[in-house]
Order: sequence, then C-alpha cells, then structure tokens
Amino acid sequence: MTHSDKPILRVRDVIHEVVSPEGATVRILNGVSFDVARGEFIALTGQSGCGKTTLLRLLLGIGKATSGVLESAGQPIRGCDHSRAMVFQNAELLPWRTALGNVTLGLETKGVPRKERDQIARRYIDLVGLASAATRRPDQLSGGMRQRVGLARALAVDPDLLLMDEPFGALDAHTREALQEELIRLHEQMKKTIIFVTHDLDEAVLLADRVMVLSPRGQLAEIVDIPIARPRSDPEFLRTTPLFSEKRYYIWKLMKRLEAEAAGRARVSA
Amino acid sequence: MSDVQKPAQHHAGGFARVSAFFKRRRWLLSILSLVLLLGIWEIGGRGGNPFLTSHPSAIFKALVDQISSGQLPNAFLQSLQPLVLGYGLAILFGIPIGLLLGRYWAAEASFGYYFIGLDATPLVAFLPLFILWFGLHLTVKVVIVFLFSMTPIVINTWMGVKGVPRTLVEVGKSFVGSESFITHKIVLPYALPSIITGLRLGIGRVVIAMAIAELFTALSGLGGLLLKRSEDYDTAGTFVPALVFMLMGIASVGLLGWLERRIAPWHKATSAGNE
Repeated sequence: MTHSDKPILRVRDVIHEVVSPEGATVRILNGVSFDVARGEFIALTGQSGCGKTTLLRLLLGIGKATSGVLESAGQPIRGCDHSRAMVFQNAELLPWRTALGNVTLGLETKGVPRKERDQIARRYIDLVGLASAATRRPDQLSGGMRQRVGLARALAVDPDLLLMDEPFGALDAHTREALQEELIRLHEQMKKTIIFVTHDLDEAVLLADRVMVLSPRGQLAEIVDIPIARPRSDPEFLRTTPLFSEKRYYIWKLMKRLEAEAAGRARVSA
Repeated sequence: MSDVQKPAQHHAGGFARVSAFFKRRRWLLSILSLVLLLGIWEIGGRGGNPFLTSHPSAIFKALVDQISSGQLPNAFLQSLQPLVLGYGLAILFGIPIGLLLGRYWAAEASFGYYFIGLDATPLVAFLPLFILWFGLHLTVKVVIVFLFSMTPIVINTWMGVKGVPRTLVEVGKSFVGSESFITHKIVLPYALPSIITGLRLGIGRVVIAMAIAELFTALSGLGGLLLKRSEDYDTAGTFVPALVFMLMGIASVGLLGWLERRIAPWHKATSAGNE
C-alpha cells in the first residue's frame, strides 16, 4: 500500500453528545464510520439538525467527539491545523479587511513572511476570479463574491482537506450555479479532498463522487456512489442525463424514508 | 397667466421654495438662531445690573482681558493636566479591563457588576472621601477624572467585545490563530467602533469631572478662575471659563465623533443604525 492509497480521513464509531440547556444529554452523532480517499469530493447531506455541521466541525478540530476515532492522514485530529481549512456558511470575512487582506489571514497564522503572503493571496484571488475586486471590503462585495473570498482564504493555506459548510446555501440560483461550476473546475484542477455540506440534492449529485446521507438520528444511513465521469465540464447537460436524475431521485427517496421513520418513532415514543 | 389666476398656489410654491432652500442649508438656520439669540441677549442684557447679568459684548471684552493678562491660558493649562492624566489612565486601564470582561465569562461574572455599579453611582457624593484620601491638589483631580471617564470606556469595550460573533472567533481558531492573534486581529478590530464610542462618552464626562473637581477642591484651573471671578461679582468674567468648559466639551466629543467615523468606515455599512 503506497502512502496515497491510505485514506486521508478515517472516522470510526464517532459518538457526539451535548448537554441541552435543560440539562438533558442529546446524542447528535450516533456511531458514524467512514473513510475518505485523497482527492475525493464528498457531499454530506441530511435533514436539518441531523449533525452535518457538528461532524464537519469535529473534522476541522473545533470541539472534541464524545467517543470514537477521527484521523486525518493517519494522525488523530486534535484541534485545528493547516492541513484542514473551512469555508464557512456565510463566508465570515473580517469586515475591515479587503478581499486580499482576508485571504492572507491563514497565511499570517501559518507564519508566511509578509511579502510572500501578498503574492500567494493575490494568486488565489485570481484563481477564484476576483482579481479586479481584490482591494474591496466585504461590504462592497456581493454574496457570491464574498463566498469566493472565503474559498480563496481556505485554499491559500494549501490544505489537504477542504471543509465546506453549505457555502452556497444563501446565494441566488444563478450565482450558485456559477460557483458550483467554478468549484468543479477547481477540484478537478487542484485535486483537493473536499467535504461539502449541503441541503440541495441537485448540488450534492452534481459535485460529489459520493454522497453521505445522515439520518435524523445522527447515523450514517448510506453512502451513495455517483459514478458520473469527470471532468464534469457541462453541468447543465449533466442535469438532464438519466444517471443524474436516477441518483438524485434515489437519495430523495432515501431521505423521505428516513424522515418517515423518524416521525414514526417520535409518534411511538410520544 | 396661471400664476395670476391661482395666487394661493403661487404663495404655497414660494413657501415651499424657501423651505427647500433651508432644508439644503440647515447650518444657515443654526447660525440664524444663534445670531438672533445673541442679539436678544445683547439688547436685553445691556439694561440689566452688571453684577447680576451680562451680555455678549461684555463677555467678549472679559475674554480678551483674561487672555491678554494670561489668566485664561494659565487656567486652561492647569486644567489640561488632570484632564490628560485622568483620561489617559482611564484609557490605559479601561480598554484592557473591558477586554477581559468581554472575553472571559469568569472575569465578567466576578467583576462585571462593579463597573455597572460604579457607572451608576453619582461620584460627586464621594467627593468628601476622595478629598480625605487624596488631598486637594493634582492627585484628587486625576482620580475624579479617571473614575468619571473610565466606566463608559470599560462598559463599551466590554459590550463591543461580547458583540464579536462567535463564528468570527471560530474563523480565527480554524486557521490555527493563537489566543493573542484572535484578540489582536479579530476581537479588538471588531470591537473598535464600540471602544471609540466608549472613548467619546468618556471624554464627554471628563470636562464635567474636571469642572467638579476644580470647584470643590483647591482653587485652580478654569474652575478656580470661574469661582474667583464670581466672588469678585465679575459676572461677564465668570461666563468666560464656563464658555471655555462648554467649548472643550463640544470640541472633544466632536473630535472623537469624527475619529469614530474615520476609523471604522466599514462599520456603518455592516451595522447601519447601531448605537
């Protein structure tokens, strides 16, 4: 087995519990196990409150699982490090910094010298297509542009694993499609491993190699392979293919079933 | 022709034009009001008893006298000393204390209410004690200015730091920022507009604190000059330091207001209508 054959992420029997304000223990994740191979694009989906964001935060290193194994490149995940970077839901840029200044953030903590920092940041700003808006502050950028800056900021530290928390959720349909296309291109070009949380099944099937579906009980219900060939250069066409519709419908049905099961259980216990 | 047939509307149009003229030049109304007030005061005041009342031209003459005799500049410099020292100390202690209260819940739970309490206390009530403890000279004045102006700085810094979104702190953590990096590069810049608001509220109190300190302790500075003039029944001369107090208050608050708008131009755009 060569180094690159080893999974970049190994997750085993992860259980995560939190204490609610009323003092009750709530189990958010209930025995989640999976591997992710280097360069894979994983979409993570499931109902609201099923633990998608929790899982993503554990993988990032913010918070600690109640029990179970989380390994990144063979090492247990203890806190954040530069091998994993997050693209946040609402970009979460520093409002007083320019686009370029925001992209240098991770390079500052990484200890990259100032001059080099600016060069690298400029390269990633170019990469996400914002060269002309590099000196604008976030309040002068559109939602889509802000999200591009968030993506550039994460890519700039050159992480092995990119974690994306519903990054396109708040964008209008047109901007979202443009960014999806851009992300497909970047992924195929840079070979980064990506875990992408989304509610949008269309988005999940379009982007991912595998779609992980979490059940409302915080279990990994199923991992669905999406054998659509890469490069996926024509998303508009892909959406019309039978394979795309079939996968989308399959996941949709799966989620309906999980939802019904959860509702049934709730009725029984009540 | 239509104007002649509809004189009422023509009149309304003229009024609307005048109204629009002043609406675009609000400062003109402010000046007009001031000139009118000073005019009435001048005319009304001239006939009055000079021991009891005064009027603008007499006050202006007293101002020129006090400047040329060196009284006013001396008093002003004397007042400036406790002002700068007290306010400087208030900034020096206020911002770090506010930062600690906002950043660490244990500090907030242990000490937060002291500052809320101190802020709500009429510190003038403690003046006799302060005089007992700190004497009548520079120290007591610095202490009074410090205590008056520190609490708004502490409280606004504290609230500003608490207002930093948790996700933004998580951004810092996710990029492996140290506690110091997060404080300096994320928390303090985010809280800056609020901190400057605290500085502005603080400096508004500084002039009040200084006047109180000078009137109740050793006679010095502008407050001392004011008392001396009034004991001599020099009413016009009494107005001069009072007006200087007023101008100092306006100037310092104006300066901080200007700073507030300049330092965080992004603030207005992201949280319109804040404060």
